[in-house]
Amino acid sequence: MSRSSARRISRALVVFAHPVRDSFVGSLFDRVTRTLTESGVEVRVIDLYAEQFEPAMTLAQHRTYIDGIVPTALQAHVDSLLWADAIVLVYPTWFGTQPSILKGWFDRVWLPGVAFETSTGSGRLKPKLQNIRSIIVVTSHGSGKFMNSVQGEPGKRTALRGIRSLCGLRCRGRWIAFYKNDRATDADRRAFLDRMATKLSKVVA
Amino acid sequence: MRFLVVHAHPDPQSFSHALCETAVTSLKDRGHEVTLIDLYASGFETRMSEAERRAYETADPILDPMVQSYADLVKSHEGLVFVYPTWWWGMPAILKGFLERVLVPGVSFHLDPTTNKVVPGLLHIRHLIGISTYGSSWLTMRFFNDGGRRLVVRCIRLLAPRLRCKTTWLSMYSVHDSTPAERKAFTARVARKLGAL
Repeated sequence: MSRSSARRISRALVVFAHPVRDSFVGSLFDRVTRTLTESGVEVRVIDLYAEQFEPAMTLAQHRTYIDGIVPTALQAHVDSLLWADAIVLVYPTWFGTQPSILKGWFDRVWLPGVAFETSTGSGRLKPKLQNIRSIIVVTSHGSGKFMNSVQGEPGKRTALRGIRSLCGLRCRGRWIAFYKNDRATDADRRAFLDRMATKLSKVVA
Repeated sequence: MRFLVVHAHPDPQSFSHALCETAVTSLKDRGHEVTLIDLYASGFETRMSEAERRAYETADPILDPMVQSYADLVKSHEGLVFVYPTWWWGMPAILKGFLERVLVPGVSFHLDPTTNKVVPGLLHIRHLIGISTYGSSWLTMRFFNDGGRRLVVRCIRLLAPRLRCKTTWLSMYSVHDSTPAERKAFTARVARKLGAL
């Protein structure tokens, strides 16, 4: 077996975070799942808005956070994190970063004992999600690429540096982003859908 | 000056909560007017709803009376202070949700009708302040990303284009490894900095 086929993505967890299902990001989500399925990848989907995910860390969960207790309501999310070998995040970039519902998913699901371990009381984290070999982000920005670099791309850094650092050293990050959505035409958006699908099928192949 | 302090931590006994109280007291002692929004205590809804997203680009993007009252506070204060713990390289979701739902078009910016470019709207803001605790070290935060700080001192600062709008960032790193004395010293630093504005 060649090295590339051994590294092939076979189980992808797609996380979708947009309140409007028939939006542009909604059509990106549809195209992502379709492309993955057509590439022979097994897909699990988390549609955060559809399942009315509560993103604000609760007081009860915060008090038991460090004990590594997974709240019952979040167990399915944790199981999917441990099942996947790739995570695909599909969301609109708002204020330079992930929408609050997705930020809350990191806050409440990427837990000690699941995503990382600490030596007692220490801020040093040991990554635990060694099963995840790829983090792929599909997102759209209202503003252009220049403005986003002035803002410092905090969302890109959060996903490709931060979240990826919990997945072990060899996990690869891929950024597939549509910029300047505020000033784009429908033709631009359609062209991006195709471009995104081509890139994605190459990433998982 | 009028300061709006926005706080985001679920636990009233937390260090972050104590820092928030210090910030409010120091600003008041200095003679400033201070309004506090405690997002968890007020039961603020984190998620932008489908109806809000559909209304976002219309003339009336605000549908929730609580959001409206917070938007009015943002418009009537010259200083914004954010007090929160940094979780996963950014703000707690509830604070991110506050920015998404309150700083909507008509409050913090609008889109120019001909070019569709963002036109800044926070022209009255004279000072942006962040006070945050971090589990990670300074070096880790520099290397990975301090997304919350970038959001405030870059993204929001770009919407507050007053030439002399100042930004101040007060951070305590490696907070889980810290001693009570170190936390006390940081609290004193917050009091000193805010008491001197």
